[in-house]
Amino acid sequence: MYKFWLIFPLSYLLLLTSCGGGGGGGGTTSTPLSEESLTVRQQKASRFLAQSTFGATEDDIDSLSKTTVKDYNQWITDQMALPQTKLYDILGSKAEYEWNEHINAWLYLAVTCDDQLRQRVAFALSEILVISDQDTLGEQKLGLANYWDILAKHSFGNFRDLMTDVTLSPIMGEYLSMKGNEKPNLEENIRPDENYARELMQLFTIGLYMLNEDGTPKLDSDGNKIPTYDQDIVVAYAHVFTGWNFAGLNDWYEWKEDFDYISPMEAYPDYHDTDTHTLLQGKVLPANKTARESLDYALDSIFEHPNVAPFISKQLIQKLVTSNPSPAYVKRVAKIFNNNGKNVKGDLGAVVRAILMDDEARNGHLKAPTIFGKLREPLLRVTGLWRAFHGAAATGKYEFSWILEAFKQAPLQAPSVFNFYSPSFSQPGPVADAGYLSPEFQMYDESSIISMTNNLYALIYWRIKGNDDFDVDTVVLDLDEEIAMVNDLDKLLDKLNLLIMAGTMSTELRDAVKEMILEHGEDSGEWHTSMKVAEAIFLMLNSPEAVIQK
Amino acid sequence: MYFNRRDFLKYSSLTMGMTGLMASGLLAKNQKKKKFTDSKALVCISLAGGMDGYNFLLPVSGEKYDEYKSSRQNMAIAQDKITEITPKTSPGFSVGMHSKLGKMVDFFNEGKLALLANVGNLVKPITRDEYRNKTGKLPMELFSHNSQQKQWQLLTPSSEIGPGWAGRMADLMNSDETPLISTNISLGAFNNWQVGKSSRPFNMSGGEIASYYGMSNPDDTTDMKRREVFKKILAIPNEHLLSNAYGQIQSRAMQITDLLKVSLGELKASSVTYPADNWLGYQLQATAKLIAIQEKLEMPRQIFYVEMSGFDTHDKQVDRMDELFKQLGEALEAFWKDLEEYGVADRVLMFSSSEFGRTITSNGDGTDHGWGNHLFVMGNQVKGGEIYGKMPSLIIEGEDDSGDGRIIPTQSADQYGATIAEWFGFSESEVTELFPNLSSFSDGKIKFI
Repeated sequence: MYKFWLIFPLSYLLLLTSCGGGGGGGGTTSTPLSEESLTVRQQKASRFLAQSTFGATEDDIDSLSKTTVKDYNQWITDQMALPQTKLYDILGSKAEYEWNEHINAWLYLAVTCDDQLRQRVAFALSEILVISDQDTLGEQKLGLANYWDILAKHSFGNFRDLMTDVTLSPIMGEYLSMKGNEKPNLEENIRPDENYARELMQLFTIGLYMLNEDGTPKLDSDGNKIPTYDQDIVVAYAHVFTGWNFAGLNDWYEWKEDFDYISPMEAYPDYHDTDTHTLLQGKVLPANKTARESLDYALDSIFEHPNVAPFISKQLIQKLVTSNPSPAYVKRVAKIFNNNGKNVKGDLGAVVRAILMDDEARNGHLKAPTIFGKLREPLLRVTGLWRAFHGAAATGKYEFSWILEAFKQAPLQAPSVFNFYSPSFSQPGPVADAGYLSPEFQMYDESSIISMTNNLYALIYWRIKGNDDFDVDTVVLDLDEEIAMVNDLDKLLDKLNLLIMAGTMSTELRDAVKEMILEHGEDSGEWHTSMKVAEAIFLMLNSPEAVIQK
Repeated sequence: MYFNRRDFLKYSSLTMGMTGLMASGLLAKNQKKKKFTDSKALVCISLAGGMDGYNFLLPVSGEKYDEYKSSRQNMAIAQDKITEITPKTSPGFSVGMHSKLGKMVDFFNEGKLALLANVGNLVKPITRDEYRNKTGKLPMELFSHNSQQKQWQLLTPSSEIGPGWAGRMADLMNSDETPLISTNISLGAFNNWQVGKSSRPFNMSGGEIASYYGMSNPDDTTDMKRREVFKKILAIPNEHLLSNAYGQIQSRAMQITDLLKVSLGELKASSVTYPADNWLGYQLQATAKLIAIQEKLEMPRQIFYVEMSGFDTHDKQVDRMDELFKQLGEALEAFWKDLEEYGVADRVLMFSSSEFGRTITSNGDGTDHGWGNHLFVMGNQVKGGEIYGKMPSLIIEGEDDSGDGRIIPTQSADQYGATIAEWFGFSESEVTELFPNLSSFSDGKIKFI
């Protein structure tokens, strides 16, 4: 499956020396400011913002292009210092919660929040530690928002703390049925629920197979992958994760209308199994521990597993930067995960910085031009459009509660705990044949791609000036600056090129877009000039060149 | 809703049609040498999440029901919620199907539907002792959803990568090139089952076949210009593998949408009403239409994948299963009626799959991931009204229990698949090639056709 080294030839050896195994900050070599043209700096900035925010804006590009790549470190530091925008607060200020109002609130957050990096990392985490409202949680909008805030709280925190808060979240408790999980009852053939125990290990922390630090699978002497655990281990953790239920119940079986979906679950000692259990890597949980002591011991035993660093690091790289990171890149980041330089494991802030500042993140597209990057997620294509072109409604809201139907992706609405796509998905055909991964392609098929293309069409052509039959909640694009450029097509396309595709537009694409714009002739009426800009944005956004974040 | 009323008016005013000339041009591309000349359509109904087959087909009275009840405890179905059936060969005790399955029980009685007892993923037959002593060969990661889905879908000795068995069937039919419309069509999620070495499935999740906005009205010159430019953009040479892969999906979507739009547009509307809010029914409705135009599309063989999720019943199982089985029964009832109305029922074989069964034991208010499972096949060519395979003992720690009531299968998915492939029209040697692991099971194919 892994062939990166074939296309990352000597450059990586060079890189390793120049990087000094770094990634902890400032490891990237960069050209002095004076030697780089403004255009190049802008393109680098736009590319960086695609990896670290919900979409590049002209203001952010301007601000970042005043510096060299090396100084992105300062931007990261500044971002990390910003107070967290809370989805709970955005949603909570609404008088009433209409259908899927948490989706609208999320769109508002993604498009407008200042703490873009924190929230973008939370988005990545939400696709690893998955919960979804598609099962039984649809009405728990504040609980879902609070779960999002838990992820965002730990975007730059410690992964071990994230494990605790996710495990005790009543939303997760309900989603993977650890809530109400009780000790065995042999007379009634009832044994603990294995759901959370299994998915916590398989999907949230260590995965199915033993990994090397660079994310590649370890193989036994016969060349087979080595399972990380067996059924006995799942059963053992299922026993440990007993005795937790909604906070504030009078008794374990109490039923009421308003269960507490916000506060962490609480332990109910009578329902906790207190036997001794053998856990991962032969660690033995002693008997007669409290529910909380057992939980901490169990989570520690998972966190200490050597798989956690490569398993989480690689997925975060895939979700922010590139679907096919080289093993060396994964290893550099995993090393930071294992030790942030201060002998702390699990420091996600250090990990995020290492991912974004790594030379492969900054220059990988130049060294592996045929594969580097990732297919943009549908949701990020929408937020990107609105951020780049100042999408806003008179009400200030971003109402698109059925975005899941339109774009086949929405926050906290995955079809199952396996997310919208698997990190190991590989598009059949040349991509799979060459042994590469393309996770986001799992959302794009011959049907969904039409829906996405059509809905982008609607979000652009039906949302421009001259087409002014808007409701107060219609998100309208502000294209005044672009419209003013239609008499200088190349200038217009340069601007769109920078915003949409970090300056990578081919001559052929530019010519094709011009051809379409010229179809509208010389008419300088408002509708026609708006249409010219709309044509360019639509065709570029849906072009094979732009849809891949490189 | 996000779009306002005016938007909908705009949308509905978009002309959906294509000219007949364009359509015949597209169809001509689909003509090639055919391996088969008669028409058959295979429909896989994937019960995703791990369906609890032991509450699908179960003892209904007497000692075996008591045994069932004592093992399943609060997961047991009350006797009055089981409809007794009389298989042609008695398993030695009275059995029934969950009564919420509705019409499916009638299908069994009419001889259209057959039940398969205790099927599952195996490398070779394994006994309880071999399992407990860890001496038998096992599929990798037995109780994990995606691993077992993949195992089921690939059925190769190393079920990790490689083409799925429906994909391999399509490969055998079209070794030279992939047709314009793939033999394999998924109305559900992407699945590995339909990915071949050379053939590729056509994924139309949900069965939706929309037209492209702003590129579909042949009377609008701007639309047609945009269409031309868009196609030109998709054809720009690009060395990036991911850009190319995206361009291919978009190009395929444009071609296939045009073709299906025309062919489906000419199809007479069916009078059958599908159940509301039934996702499986929605997919089956699209499937019925595609089978109805099978000859027009010049596809002697079609393979469909439809999916019903929600079977991962770790909690609230009893109530959830009632609803799920009801939906399953209603969707199949409408689908079958639809196939009969289109006059294509005789060519269809439907079969169910699920990554695993569930534990006989309870986790409080649900069940966890098991292994062997009871499944069904249906079609006019099925020798129905019968249970194929041995009904397992449901005693905890009994002869068929690997532990906690995860029942060891006694028929393998390979045997199941091979039987289906034989019906599909493949020769003995082709079936052996398709299912390399079949020889590990001395019973060979299952005799339900």
